[in-house]
Amino acid sequence: MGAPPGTLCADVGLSRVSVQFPRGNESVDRVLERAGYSAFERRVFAKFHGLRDTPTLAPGERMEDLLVGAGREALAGCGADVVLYAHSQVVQEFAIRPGFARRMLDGLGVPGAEFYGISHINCVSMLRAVEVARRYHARPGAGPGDRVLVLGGDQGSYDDSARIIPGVTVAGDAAAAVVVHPPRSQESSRYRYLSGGAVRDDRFHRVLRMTQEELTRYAKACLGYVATVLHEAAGRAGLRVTDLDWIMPDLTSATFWRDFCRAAGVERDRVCLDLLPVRGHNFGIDAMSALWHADLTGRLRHGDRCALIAVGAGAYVQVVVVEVVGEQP
Amino acid sequence: MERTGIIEHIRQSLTVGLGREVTDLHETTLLYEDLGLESIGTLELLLQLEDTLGIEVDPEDLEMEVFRTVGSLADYVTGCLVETGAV
Repeated sequence: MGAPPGTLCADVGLSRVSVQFPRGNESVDRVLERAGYSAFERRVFAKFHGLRDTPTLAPGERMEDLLVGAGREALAGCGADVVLYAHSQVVQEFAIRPGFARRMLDGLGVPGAEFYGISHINCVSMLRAVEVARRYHARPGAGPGDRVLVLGGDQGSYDDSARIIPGVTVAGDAAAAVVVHPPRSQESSRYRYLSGGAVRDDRFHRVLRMTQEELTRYAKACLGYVATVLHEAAGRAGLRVTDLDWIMPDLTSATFWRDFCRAAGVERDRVCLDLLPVRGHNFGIDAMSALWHADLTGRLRHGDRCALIAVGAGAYVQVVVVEVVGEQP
Repeated sequence: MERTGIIEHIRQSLTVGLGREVTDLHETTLLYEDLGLESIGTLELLLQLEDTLGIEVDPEDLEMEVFRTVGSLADYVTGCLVETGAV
């Protein structure tokens, strides 16, 4: 990424987040049963990981429509110069069908925008795309009216083998979008970017092919990385972790955040896990969907500082710290 | 239930959590360091204890200290048994 996150141009704004879930849901238990998990193993997911349902496209529903729906809502009738599509799965059936970028741009109503994919970093892709958008706004010749639409979401239900991280989580179908405004934009943003942080540890590059032993080391390493990157990102904003009002988490499992809160001394009620049982993990959009839900349910107040956290197999950790600046919807 | 009975239940349940037989177990045995118990194994151990002892584990109440030694886990199990009225 070059310059460390949080040092490039620290005053971009973010619009309200838009999230689209499919009509359908499937029980996590059923997905796991189909994959051959025993009843005993499935109880671990339900009781400890807190995973009950996973969003699943209903017959006739299309992932592209979720992405377009989320994107159009975030754009709110305005255009975009660049669309960044952040995804975790490298190959998705709908996205490799010829003309994907064109269909998306036309569907979003921004036929003249540039379209790029942000991938190969697994579930940190959407938060990383926010950083890429900041770089775009920091380029020479950037204008105050430039707009970058960050889109995220994957179709987990395409293949069970791609949606299950053994012993860890089950991922679903969902899309999220947010517009990143430049500094000095005339548009009113809902959130002000304060800082960011990231880390990568390629010891865990085998991802879904990791052994149980590697998965255990990965989980332990991620706990430490999240604590470290969160501390660093908060520090870049002149804050301590205790100054953060909310943590918008990756929603892989309640077990991870229980362990994190114990290890890092963070109060559990500051971690917004409300969506976890009913929506679960949806690749790279979890932190954005947690922010969306917290805003929608009236939890956020002007001035609240929120840390959005994504954890990606590989391993990657990405943190974005924002401040709530707009009025409640 | 006697303390020795609880520890025997823990020994048997550890077979599930560790995926191997455990023979030599004491109050001071360290679950992670001495036995090599890992996170997923810990969750499976707790489910096994629920099944064999009829206790209800609340994930929100679990502190790391519970899993320090066999004795600390036995204390936790005893507390759960008291709640169920079995002790």
